Amino acid sequence: MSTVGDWLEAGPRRGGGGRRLGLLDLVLVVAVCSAVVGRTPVGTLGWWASQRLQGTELPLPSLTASFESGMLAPPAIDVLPPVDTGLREDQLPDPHRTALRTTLAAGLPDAVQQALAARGAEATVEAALELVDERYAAAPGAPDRVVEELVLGAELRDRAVARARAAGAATPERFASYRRFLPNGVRVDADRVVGGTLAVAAVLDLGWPVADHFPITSGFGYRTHPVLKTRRFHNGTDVGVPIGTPIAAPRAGVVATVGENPTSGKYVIVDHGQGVRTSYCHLSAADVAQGDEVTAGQRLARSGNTGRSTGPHLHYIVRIGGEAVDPIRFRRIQGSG
Amino acid sequence: MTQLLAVVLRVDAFVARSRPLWRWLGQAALVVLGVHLAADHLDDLLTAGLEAIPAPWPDTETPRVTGTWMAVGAELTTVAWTVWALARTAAVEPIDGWRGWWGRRSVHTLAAPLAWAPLAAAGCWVIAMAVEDAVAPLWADAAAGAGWAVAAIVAWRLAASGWWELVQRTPPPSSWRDGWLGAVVVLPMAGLALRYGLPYHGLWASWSTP
Repeated sequence: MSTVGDWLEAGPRRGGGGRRLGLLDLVLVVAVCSAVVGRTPVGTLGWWASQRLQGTELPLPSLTASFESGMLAPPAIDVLPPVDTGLREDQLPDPHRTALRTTLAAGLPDAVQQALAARGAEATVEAALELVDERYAAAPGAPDRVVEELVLGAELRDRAVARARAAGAATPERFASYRRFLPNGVRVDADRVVGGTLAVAAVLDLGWPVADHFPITSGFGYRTHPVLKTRRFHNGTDVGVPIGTPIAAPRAGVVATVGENPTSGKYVIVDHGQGVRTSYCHLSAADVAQGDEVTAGQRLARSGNTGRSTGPHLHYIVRIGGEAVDPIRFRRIQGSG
Repeated sequence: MTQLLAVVLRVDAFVARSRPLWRWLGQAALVVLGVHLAADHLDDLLTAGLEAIPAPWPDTETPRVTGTWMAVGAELTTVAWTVWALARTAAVEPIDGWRGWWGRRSVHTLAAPLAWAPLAAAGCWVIAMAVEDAVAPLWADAAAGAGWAVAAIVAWRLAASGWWELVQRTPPPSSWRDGWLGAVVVLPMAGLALRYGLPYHGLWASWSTP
């Protein structure tokens, strides 16, 4: 046992190894510690503490940002209306085009700036879209992949997918699965542009859960609560529908929850992938169970008046990365496209 | 040249003597990297589990948020346990062979090396990936090899030495139940690291699929 121990401890102690390789060990420790920063909650805490010790006043960064479920920053981005009409078949189609234009408008990632500089083009959103169109023409029918490779490059993406596959991920080709195997340096751009584009494209692809003629009775945002009579944030859109109105899945997905609580009454949550979830509250009955795979247009439930509600209606919530967004904003864009 | 080498060796020896002061930091950091791969899957499992409970959650998103924060908590707890377990070894006399180890048996004695191995191994893989990513733009063909070479050195100098310290310097327990509370958190995390934090699943799939 002690022989094994000596070997592990030292690289044989009898040769004096325990008193050697100090510099190697020190380099390894520094390298491993630096790999922790930005990659894990512990690294985030350590970085924040070191900044505080240096006298820099910083708010505590999100400890959940390095988790898959927290990969998307709150969508404080303005979704731009689609301006490209009459797109050719070899150009990146909507909704990916509008979504990409939206995320690129907030800043071109380093990889895109370098690619544009290499061809002598100006670093603009339009030039970036031309670049994307060229790549899409070479790989038609794969808009997700074109967006992913725009930021990551084909090699890095393939490497990350191979790692996700090696780790036994069920869907290694999906950004959410291989994202954790990307290097720190590209992860911020990847989350913002790739994760953001795919999420916004998924939201733009959502249909409407009830027939179009039903009126919006209360919009998204701050309002005086009809029951509590206090000013509160309304995280969804209320649609006035009679009890028993069928509610359809606005996009394919998996039923994440069928539940009930005193506030939301009976509710259903559907996970559409890419960090997008939709919720349907105050239902009278659910027609699906947790884990069910649903297709676009499939009946999920029937509307009702359960929970904290003043009358029959559907409370419809759309979330990107856990943050509620205004469903109407995306519905209008769909309508204008 | 000889003089320069002598100076380097002298500095190396000096740094080596101070190893007990800082090596634990690298060993703990290695586990931090491994445990995050496990925690990133734990939050999905916890969220799915919580969403399946027919409880009157105050908000429809409460299970998801709770699941993620529970995973953060489990990750931080595992890291704290690692630092604590390594710190305990500093004040303990090494065991004298397997009989001595058996004489100190407790939940902690078993759980510590069992948990350490997959968590530190997953950390080594993270290092392999980081090195591969750094080398790839310079020399793509050598990147994977460089990654695995550095990971092997890290495994030897930090992971294996940490594991050995936990085995050889396991503290004498006051009861065989010593360490059960930590084991409840740390062993499941080690299991997740074994399942999701090591690259053998895909290798097995590629071998077993024609």
